[in-house]
Order: sequence, then C-alpha cells, then structure tokens
Amino acid sequence: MIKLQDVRKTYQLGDNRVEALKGISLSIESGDFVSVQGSSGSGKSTLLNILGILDSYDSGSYTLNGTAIRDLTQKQAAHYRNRFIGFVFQSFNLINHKSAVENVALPLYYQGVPRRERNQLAMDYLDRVGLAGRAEHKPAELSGGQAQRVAVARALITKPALLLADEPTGALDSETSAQIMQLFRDVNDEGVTVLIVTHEEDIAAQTRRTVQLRDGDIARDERLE
Amino acid sequence: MIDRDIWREVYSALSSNRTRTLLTASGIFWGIFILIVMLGFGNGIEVGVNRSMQGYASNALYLWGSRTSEPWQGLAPGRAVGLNNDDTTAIEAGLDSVAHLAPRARLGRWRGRNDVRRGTKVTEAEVMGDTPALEYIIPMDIQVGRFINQLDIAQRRKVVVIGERVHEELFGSDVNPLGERIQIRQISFTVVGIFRPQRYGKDRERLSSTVFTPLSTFQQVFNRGKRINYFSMVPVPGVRSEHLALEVRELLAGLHRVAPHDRRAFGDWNSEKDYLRIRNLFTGIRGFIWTVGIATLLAGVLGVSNIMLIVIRERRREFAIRKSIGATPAAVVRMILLETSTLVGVAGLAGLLAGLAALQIIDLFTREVASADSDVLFSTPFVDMRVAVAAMLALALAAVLATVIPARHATRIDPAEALRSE
Repeated sequence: MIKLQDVRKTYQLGDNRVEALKGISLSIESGDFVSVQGSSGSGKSTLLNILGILDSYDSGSYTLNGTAIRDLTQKQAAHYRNRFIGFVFQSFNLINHKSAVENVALPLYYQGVPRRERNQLAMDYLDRVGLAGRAEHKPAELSGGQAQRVAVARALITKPALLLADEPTGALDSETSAQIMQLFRDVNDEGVTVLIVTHEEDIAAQTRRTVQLRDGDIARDERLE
Repeated sequence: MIDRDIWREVYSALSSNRTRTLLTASGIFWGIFILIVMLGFGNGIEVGVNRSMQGYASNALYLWGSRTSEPWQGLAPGRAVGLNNDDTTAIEAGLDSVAHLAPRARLGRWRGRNDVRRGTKVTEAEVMGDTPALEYIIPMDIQVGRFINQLDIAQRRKVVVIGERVHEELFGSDVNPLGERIQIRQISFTVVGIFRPQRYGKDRERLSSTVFTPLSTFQQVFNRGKRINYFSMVPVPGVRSEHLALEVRELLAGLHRVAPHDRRAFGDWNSEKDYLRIRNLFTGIRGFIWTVGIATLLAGVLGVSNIMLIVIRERRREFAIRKSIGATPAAVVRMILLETSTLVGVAGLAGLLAGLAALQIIDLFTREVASADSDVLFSTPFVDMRVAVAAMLALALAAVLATVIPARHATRIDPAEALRSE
C-alpha cells in the first residue's frame, strides 16, 4: 500500500537548513490502522504532507498503491489526491460558505460527477456519520464534533484507499474524540487504510500500529494488539 | 464541464460576500457608464455642430472686390474695384482649378431686403441675381418647380425662384404659385419654383426670405450693366480653397490694373479653414473622450485586479482545501476566471445599460432646445452600435486583464502550508 524508502526532506528556513526527514523507510500494509506520534518538530507533519502528495521530497522513493509518487505535475498530484486519498484536518477545513452536504459533495464535483448524483451520495455519507439532519447547515452552525464528522464524510466520499488524519481530535473534547475514533475504526474495518498523526498517547493506543518520530527519524515502530 | 454546476460555484462564491462583490463591481460599472455617457455627449455635440454647418459647401470660396491699397500703373491707391461679367468669363476660361463658379448680384446692401409684392400683399426678401451654378454652392431643396436654368439666362426671362417664407406670405402655403406673377420694384416676374433651405437656425430663416432671379435678367431690369457683387466658387477636388483664392486674385489683379501683391484690393473668405478646424476639434474631443474613458476603465480594472488579489489572500485556505481534495490548477484558474469575468461582465453590462438610460434621460430634458430647427450646437445624445461593441470588447479585455494576475497567485498557493494547523 505505502512504501517509503530512505525519504529525505530539507527545508531552508532563513539561513538555516532544517532536515525535517532524515531518511525515513516505512511500509504500511493495505487495511492497516497506523498512528504517527511525535513532538512538534519531529517531522510528523512533513511526513503526512509527503504521504498526502501535498509536498515533495528531496530523495528516496515513495510508492502509493503501486504508483511511484515522484516529480508529479500539479494536475497529476490533484488527480491522485482526489482518487486515492482522503484528508481529515485538526481544524476541519470545511468551506464556510457551503452547507454540510455541499462540502461533502465537493470532491465529486472535481471528478465531474453530476450534481444530483453527488448530492445523493453526500447525503448517504452524512447519514453514515449521523448528520443527515444537519445537511443544510453551514459549518459555523455545527459543533466541533459535527464539523469533524462532516470532514470525515467528505474524506470518504471518493472511496479512497488511504485516509490521512492530521490531529483529527486535537480540537475536540474527549467524548467527541471517542466518537471520531470509533468512526475511524469503522472505516478501517471496511478495509480503508487509516493513518493518524497525533501527539496524544490514548489516541495512538487505539490504533493497531504506532510509529514514533523523533528529529526526523523513526524512533520506535511497534504493533499493538 | 461548462454546466450549471460551474455557475453555481461562481454564484455561491460571489454571493458569499455581497459587499465585497458590489465594491469590486462598482469600479467597472463607473468606467463603462462614464465612457458611454461621454461618447453620447460627444456624438450629440458633433451632430449639432454638423447640422449647423449643413447646407454649406464645405470648401466654398467667396471673393469680392474692395479698394486698392497700393499705387499701380499710375493709379492712386483707394480706388474701388468692381467685379463684372468679364471677370466671370476670364475665370471660366483661364482657371482649370474652379469646379463651379457662381457670380452673384444683389439688390441693395449686404443682406438688405426689398419689398416683394403680389397684388396687395407685401413681404420683404433678399433679391439676388444668380446662375444655375449656385445649386452647387448652396445645396437647395426645390419643393415645387425648378431652379434657374441656362435658358433663363440666355433669354433673360423674367422668372423667379422664391423661398418658402416668401411663398407662405404672398400666396399661403397651400397655394400653388407656379406661373403666378410677383412684383419687385414694379417689375413682374413669373414664379417657376419654391425652395426650402437645407440649413438650420437663423440662416434658414434668412434664406427662406430670398428670391433668385436669373443674373442676366437681374442686370438688365435693375440697370446693373455687367456688374456683379461677388463670386461664390468651389475648387476641383484636390485643390485647397486658399490656393484657389490666390489664383483668382492674381488673374483679377491683371484685369483690373491692381498691383499683384495688393492684398486689400479683393476680399475673400472660405469655409474650408473653419470646416477643417471643427473637424480637427472633433477628432481631438473624440480622442480625449476615449482616453478618459479607457483610463477610467483601466482604473476600474486595476481596482478589480487588486481586490481579487485580496480576495484570494482571504480565500487562501479555501483554495488550499479545494486543491487538497482534488482541484487541479486548471480548475482553480477556471473558477477565478469565471468569477472575475462574471463580475466584470455583469457590472459592465449594468454600466452600459445605465449609461444608455442616462442618455435617454438627458435627451428627455434637452429635446426642446436640441430639436432639428434650433441653433443650439447640441443634438440628441446617442451611442452607435459600433461604439457599444467596442466598449464591450474593452470590457472583455478588462475582464481577462483583471483575472490573469490573481489567478496566477491562486495556483501558487501551497496547500501544505496554507492548511497547516495554527
């Protein structure tokens, strides 16, 4: 599913060169449920961006679903993001002037799915996260937990092989965090590979495998069961 | 992918911040509005001035005898120089650059009037002795009958062509006067035609109260001998009136024993200089209007471009989200392009319509003074279709210009950076 081999990434920050990733090798099987842990500056966000094809890397190789992700044009990157990957962010990142159902349907808009069809599907996914009744609400009218569930529905609507979540519970209280984690487990049970970046121990403990990053290197990689 | 979906996206983006959208649109709106109104005004003034000049050959030359100012061949200065039929013959025979020559004689002083009678009815009119060539110098609209012809001249017929006003006062406008007689200084003339001047304002009134008789008849019955008052003439194409005046002066100087460089012995005036000056004036006004209009439009476009930059900065996160869920750069550019051009298109169209409406309202208030018979140098303001199309093209160009830079900025947004959790 995911195969990283000696991936390196360096940023230029003013006069300083910051080595964010110092040769990461990691392979994740299809259907796995992985958490990436690390303090800030450990390189976990950089890793997530590279995995999500939002950022490039300097050397090494990255294979996603058998496709080498390297030197892609913006258009190709957009295509892979749309088809293979679903994103969930800490700050939800919903579009404020669109209703919940429109937000969920948006990825299908970029696939050229007709409006009626994609809104139908979006309603199904909203129903799945228990928010069919809030379909016409704008993000500002939703609670944090509801907004994050809308974001999860949006991430899933394209039936991605990989779900990437960046601190998905960071802005939520423990009860709603639990709901979101339950949602991730359900999605994972259906065969979607889930990767969560978090700094919370108890969140990481709910996954099947945790990868600990420190200073751009993998410090620990263990399977929980 | 041009379907309702795209327009929904455009609509929702534009309507999500109405104030900003309206502010952006107002720049373009005013640009087009001002351009249309100014062009309409320019056209109105141009038509008004052209109308006031209508009925004059644009390059006519008028030349008359005056007094000498230099001694020559033993003759003292101050001698009056009079023109006569021999001059006509000499000019016709000697100068190829004259297209039409109309010698004219007048009864009484410059613009003086004489009584013209029919039975007990009397009116005042300018009485002229003319030749058929006059028709080439003062364009005339012959309502009934004909103008003076060569036979009238050759046979010294006592015929007369009368102006509209004379007809009205002596006969009444519904009476056919052809074949009827009128008296000028106790001499009877038969009416052979009525004319309506093609000029406007005061000139029209003056010309309506004019009667034309054949020059040969005029000279005989009013005891003029061979004398004429002045020449009206039009040069052949390619010759400037000014140059023709010099040629005629030189020829006449020889015939009248006038010093070759005596500028005061003859007087002349031509409408070409005035005509050209006015034409240049309009070229200038039109250039000015377009310059101001396009500058205003450009200011509007720069404003839109600027606001779009701010808008994209504000919507950085939105574009980043769209990119992260699969929007290609082309899709982002297309979206911004459509948003801007929709905004500019609608605002421009509104400006165009508002401009046309403003011209209508102006017309409503100026119609009284700007009507066809008036002297006012202003007519119905209007914009022709070519100009409207040009304005719309300028607008389309403006839309593209306003979009290019903001759209480039939007595609350069790095989603990883824009979406980084705060």
